[in-house]
Amino acid sequence: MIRNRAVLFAFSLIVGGVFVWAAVLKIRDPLAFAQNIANYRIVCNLIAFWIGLLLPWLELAAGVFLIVGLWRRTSALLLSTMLAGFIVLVAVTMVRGIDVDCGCFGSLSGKANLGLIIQDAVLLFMSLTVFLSKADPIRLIGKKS
Amino acid sequence: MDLKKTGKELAAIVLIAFVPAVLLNLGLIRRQLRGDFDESLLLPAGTPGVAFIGLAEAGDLFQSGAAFFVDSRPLDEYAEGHVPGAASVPLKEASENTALATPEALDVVPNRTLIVYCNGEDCRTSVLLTRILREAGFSDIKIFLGGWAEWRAAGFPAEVGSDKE
Repeated sequence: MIRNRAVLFAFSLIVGGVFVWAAVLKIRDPLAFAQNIANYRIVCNLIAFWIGLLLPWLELAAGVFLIVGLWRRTSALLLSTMLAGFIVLVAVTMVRGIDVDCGCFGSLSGKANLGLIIQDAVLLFMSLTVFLSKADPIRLIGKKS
Repeated sequence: MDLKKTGKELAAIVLIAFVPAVLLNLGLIRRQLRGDFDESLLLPAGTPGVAFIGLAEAGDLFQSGAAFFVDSRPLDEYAEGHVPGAASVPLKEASENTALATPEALDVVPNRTLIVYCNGEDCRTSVLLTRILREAGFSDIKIFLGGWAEWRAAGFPAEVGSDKE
């Protein structure tokens, strides 16, 4: 298990930064993101609407908390759960043969494909490392746990 | 791991995230409750000037020359094959530079009928591009949902290559 505080901080910064950036792009146009969710053809428009409205804000909050170091492990757990969910969703979509934009980065999104699964897996590794590590990374605010 | 502490922190994060999400989107939530998004999330029912059409109508409009086709896919996919005469307006580029989707850029009068398409029913770039085209001044836009996949499967005319390459 990685214990180097600087490495853990770098992981937090990368994962948190990606989520904050992705969230900001989606918050600007919640309906477009909701449509991206509906395109996966797993949930109805009503559920896609609420996910499109709420999920980006959850990504933003968890991303910011992970970066600043407040509620770090809980934020890392939340983001890890999201990443695991995204990986399963993309894999299922590929198996079903649906060609769809992932919707991860608003209008800048790429396709839901193997490359995206690898990208999410790398982020999941970083996020889980932060969650599981006993060492406390460098934090910007909050007391040492 | 302290489950109670984690649960409390999780609840706090969710609360901090959801309060602004709801407060800043009250207008959208009201429209959702009114049923505006039951049919489509991007084009609420009754949106003037936008219609979804099928292969037959798209083919008829192509044959008669009564419509101008717009391809919203990336340029490399457009170059591999597209509806003859269609203009390439990739959504990504148009999102970053809306000047690419104006009547002047396409050299088409604003009241001309546009047919926007992408890969097929699983893509929505045509729907998203429609919003940009409407804001750019086009008033009569149809979305061919079957898109390039359906057009090609039907054996309709195709053109390869791009002037932009």
